[in-house]
Amino acid sequence: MAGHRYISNTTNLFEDDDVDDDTFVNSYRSRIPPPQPKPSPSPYVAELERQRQTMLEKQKEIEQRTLDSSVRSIGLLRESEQIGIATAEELTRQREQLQNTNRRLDEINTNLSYSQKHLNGIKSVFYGFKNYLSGKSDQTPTKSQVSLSSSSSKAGNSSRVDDTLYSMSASETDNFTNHPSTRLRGLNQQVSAEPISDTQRINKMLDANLDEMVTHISRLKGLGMALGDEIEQQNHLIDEIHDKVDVADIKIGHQNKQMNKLLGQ
Amino acid sequence: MGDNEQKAMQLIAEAEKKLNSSKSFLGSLFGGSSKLEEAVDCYLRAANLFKMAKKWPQAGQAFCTAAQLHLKAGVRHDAATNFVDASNCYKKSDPNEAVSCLLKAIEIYTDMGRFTVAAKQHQNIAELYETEVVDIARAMQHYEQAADYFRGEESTSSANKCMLKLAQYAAQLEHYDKAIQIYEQIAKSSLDNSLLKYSAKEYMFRAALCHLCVDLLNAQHALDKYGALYPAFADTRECKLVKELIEHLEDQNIDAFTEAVKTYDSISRLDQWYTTMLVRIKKQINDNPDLR
Repeated sequence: MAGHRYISNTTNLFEDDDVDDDTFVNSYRSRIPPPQPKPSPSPYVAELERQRQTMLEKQKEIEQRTLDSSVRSIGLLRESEQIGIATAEELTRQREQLQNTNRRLDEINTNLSYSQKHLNGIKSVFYGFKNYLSGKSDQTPTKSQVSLSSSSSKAGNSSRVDDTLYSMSASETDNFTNHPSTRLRGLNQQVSAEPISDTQRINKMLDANLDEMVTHISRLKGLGMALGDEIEQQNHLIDEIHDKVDVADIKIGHQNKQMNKLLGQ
Repeated sequence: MGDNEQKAMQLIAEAEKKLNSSKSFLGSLFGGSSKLEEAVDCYLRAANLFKMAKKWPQAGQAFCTAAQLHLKAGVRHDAATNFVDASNCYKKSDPNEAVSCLLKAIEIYTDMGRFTVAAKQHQNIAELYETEVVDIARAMQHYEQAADYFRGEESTSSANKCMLKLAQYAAQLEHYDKAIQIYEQIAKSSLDNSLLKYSAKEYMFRAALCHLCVDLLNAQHALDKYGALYPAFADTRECKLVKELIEHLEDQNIDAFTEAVKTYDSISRLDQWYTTMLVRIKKQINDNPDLR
């Protein structure tokens, strides 16, 4: 208190510039010693404040990690889809080869029965006579139509799966906008221009990523189902081929023995 | 291994003796053909022994001789198989020789009407030209030939595989029209098949990139066309990327271009073909500075 100056100019106390009344009154406030700083907040509050800060940081970290992980998942889903696509292409190629083999085996079997007839004719006159009676079949027998019809029926089956998948992929994009809950929440409206908080932004990105993941996963499901169907059909094909090969094998063995006998070996 | 080699040399000498002996009058009278067969047999055994000894050139040589003997004997099928075996051996030592063996085999196969096998051999040759002797033009030739034969035999998916390789190299050599044609055709046909339609988006993406290398407006039209063909295409990351690239190209904004490509790459790796195409497209920005 002693240090405060009521009068601005102490060197000349009798100078004319008297202290204005207003100045005098207003200087009172500056004379009051600045209020003591409030007593430091209780350590409990400080602790809570610190915890709050760490929580916020953790939240940010978690949000960022979640976002990164969703992006990584999308990458992985795309990779799986590519692997699935490559497998699908390989499977179609394999199917073509299997169908080819099937057709050739049919030809082989008919050729074998034809050669059997010839062998019979060679073996003995009696058989030759029987051949003559069972009808002239000098022209090569026509390819059997069985394999062709079976492959066309399979094409019919695949087109059914085709249709469901096509409609599924077309409608999945509309599910979000047409779903009643989004309409209620007005989420299908355009984004307003108001500033959005960090968390909200991250949530939006996360939602977008999750939607993308949903699309990818449904595609993967479709792909997986189609692959499974394809493999089942090919299993049938393989079984058919197996049977035909067995038949051909037996016939060939039989004819070889007959020919060896004929040639006297 | 030297042991095998020696045995093989012995067998070759034996085979040559048999051949020479069959040329004599008597030999040709009494089962000249069986001498030929035995000679062929010796040659084949010798070739296998050489293979075991890893003497690839000699093995290839032995197989070739066996094949020619088969041709003389009129057994074309075996001859062709031997030529293929010969080429397998030559693959490891002299690719050009391998190619010539395969060509001979293909001649025999096409003569016999076995086009699928011939197509497969064309594919093998093309792969040789791809990897060992890097001659992309000839590789393309053979891929085209293989695709034609496959299509003739109704093996559309094998034909498509060759056409895809063809399109890839065509785009690399800047024959964009051809590449675009092939990609669009394959994309359209794969839409019909429930299994293959998932790969349609990749082919449309590639076709769109080729369009971008040529002309912006074309690319825009193409994107719309593909979207109409395949509704789900418009939602894919690929389509979005192409749209962004078109935008940035129009604005001549290199940084945004690179940024978009980087984001896409972080999600889905872009392989060498894609990066080449994108670098070419980026160069377009540099070459056509906006004169405004």
